[in-house]
Amino acid sequence: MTSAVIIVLREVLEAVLIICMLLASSSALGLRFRWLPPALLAGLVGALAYALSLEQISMAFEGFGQEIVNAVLLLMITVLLLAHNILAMREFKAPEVSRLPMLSLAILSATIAMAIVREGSEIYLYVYSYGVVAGDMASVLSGAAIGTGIGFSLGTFIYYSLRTLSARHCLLFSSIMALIVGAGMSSQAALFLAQSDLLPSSEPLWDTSAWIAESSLTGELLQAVIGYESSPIATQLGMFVGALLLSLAAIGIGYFSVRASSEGPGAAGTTGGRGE
Amino acid sequence: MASIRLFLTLTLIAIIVMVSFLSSLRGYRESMLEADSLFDLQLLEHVKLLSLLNPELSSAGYARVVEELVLPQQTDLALTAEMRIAYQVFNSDGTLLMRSVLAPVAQISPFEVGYRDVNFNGYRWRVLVIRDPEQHHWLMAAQRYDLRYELAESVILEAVIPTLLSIPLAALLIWFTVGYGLRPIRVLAREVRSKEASDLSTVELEGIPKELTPLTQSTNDLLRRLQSSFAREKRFAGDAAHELRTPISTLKVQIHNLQAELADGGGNLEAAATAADLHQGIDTIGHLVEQILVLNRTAPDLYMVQFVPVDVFDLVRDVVSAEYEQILQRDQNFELDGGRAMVKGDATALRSLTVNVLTNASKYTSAGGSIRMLVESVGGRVQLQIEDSGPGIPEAYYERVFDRFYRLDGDRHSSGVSGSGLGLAIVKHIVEMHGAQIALSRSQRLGGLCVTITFNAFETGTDS
Repeated sequence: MTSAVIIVLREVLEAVLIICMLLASSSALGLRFRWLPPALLAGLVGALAYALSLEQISMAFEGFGQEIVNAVLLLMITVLLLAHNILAMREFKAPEVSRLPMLSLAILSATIAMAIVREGSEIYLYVYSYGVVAGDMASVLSGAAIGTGIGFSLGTFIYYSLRTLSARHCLLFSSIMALIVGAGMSSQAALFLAQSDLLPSSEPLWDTSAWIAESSLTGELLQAVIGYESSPIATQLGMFVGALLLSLAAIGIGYFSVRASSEGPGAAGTTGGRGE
Repeated sequence: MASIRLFLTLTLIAIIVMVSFLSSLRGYRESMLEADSLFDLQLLEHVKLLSLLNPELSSAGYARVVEELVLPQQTDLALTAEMRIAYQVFNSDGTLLMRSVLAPVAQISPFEVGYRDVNFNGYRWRVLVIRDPEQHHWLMAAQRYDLRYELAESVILEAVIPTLLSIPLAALLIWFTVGYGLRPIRVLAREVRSKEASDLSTVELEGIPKELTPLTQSTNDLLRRLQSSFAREKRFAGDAAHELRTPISTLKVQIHNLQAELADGGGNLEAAATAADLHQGIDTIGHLVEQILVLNRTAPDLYMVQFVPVDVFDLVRDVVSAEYEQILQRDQNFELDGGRAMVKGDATALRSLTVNVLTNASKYTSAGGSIRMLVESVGGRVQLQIEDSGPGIPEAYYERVFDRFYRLDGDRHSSGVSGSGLGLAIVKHIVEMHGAQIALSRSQRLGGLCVTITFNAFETGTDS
């Protein structure tokens, strides 16, 4: 049961971190939550479809289909988080000026749906293979329930903690979280791509499994948050650092794009200056 | 924190889940360890029993193989039945004397006393090896790890599962409890919301929780202050205007007499001119007082209106015929266009509105100028428009002219225009009272001011 708790908790936490962060951003961007149920539903349907057609997917791309689809999902989430950072920093700089509600809605919904597709399908596969096939249903389901419960509780605390901040600080924190989570995800994607020989693979750069084993609770939680890997390869580190830099660039672009786009009425300048 | 109820419910459930799940998890791990030592104890008991058997080799020199005891009702103890123990007994020189049917012929563990983990028959086993102090036999008993784990977990899960299943119930109870706890806030909100705009009586609720008492008290204080200041304002304006009416009328009569006497007296021209100015001044004051009374009567929050269907065109025609003398005096061209246009409103207020816009237009348009009124009903809307050829109002002042007592700096008109500065304020009041809109613009046709008032049309249908 403990392993079920840890594995499900890791997956749920990955999804819940993204969902809570984006929900908090959404309210700071002045959007209502009507977009959430369709996004959740799309994510769940997608996760189920992915899990059910896993056999065909794994066969594709010379047997590397699953790795490639996972990598693509992770990279798309990373890119969407970059886009979120641009929007969040625009709002941070000039609240309520030059909002892009439709674009924001599309980005938030797509990110959450994809995060659920990825994590939901993992959970489904775990429960199916260990619970249904191995016949250990009670233990796996109890573990999954405990992991899900703890994950959602953490999510609730994170969400309400972000909401206690002012809208601008909430956006800043969400962007920093998105930066870290996105970097972790792209490093995971790098591992998948290296496994399918699309990116160069190499000897691990170091091995910290003696300190924090990946399969320990701490290791799994760190993996969910920052994409922790005890013995990373160079490609992973490169992708991690690359994603961090890109995310910082997105924050910069978001921050400096508002002044450029609304110099005319001078609204951005004055509003941006007010909070500083 | 959009909803207190949602916030409380979610965070309370999250806290309960966190605390109870983490303690379940902790309890699970501890219980699994405890179960492990219980199973070890079971092995020890088994080995102790083996030491009592004191087996010998058969006459042919074979080890004895002991069949498993079959329980009569296997289903009752399905798991414990699976939890069979494999054992071997060796004599001091290492010859197998006896084994259970589960144990292989080969020795399952080295001859070393203590617990250890070994593999045989394709499973991982927990073995206890003990040396019998009397016969110096080696006694070995082993249990399958997976079965130990399964049995222990099935017992412990029985304690964990109810905790998991109770969470939805707890969530439901918290939702309703929080909702019940927040009920006084809803009641208070409903009470305040249901009050009419004119109802400033205090909010009286029974059994208000002490957290809400400061709120109700300050709301009631506010309402009381508001009520008394409303009453004071209304009384003051009304009383002052009313009280002024009589002396003004008296003054008018006296001035009239004075003028008559001066005329009879055969002509101090200077005094006659002063008396004429005085007369005009008093007229202005009289007009002002009348306007204050109208404004007071039509203040939307105090005015209990009875709206009826009114034909604006009809009403405008009436007003024009009453005020036509003023227009004629100033030699102005007047034009009225349009047709029947029904709105729902207060006839007296609408008349006052029309009088004000018409006299305004006439006042500020020079002699010989033009005034045009238009009443039309277009797609659910009724428009009342009045244009003049006067100097108009600069766009920057469009908002300010609606303020009470505001007049544009220096009369635009030199021909002794008397005004109170209340005309457009009254018009605006009446417009708001009817839920209509008023807009000022430059007249395209006549070049002066164009006032457009847009009402919602009254759908006449069969009744008119």
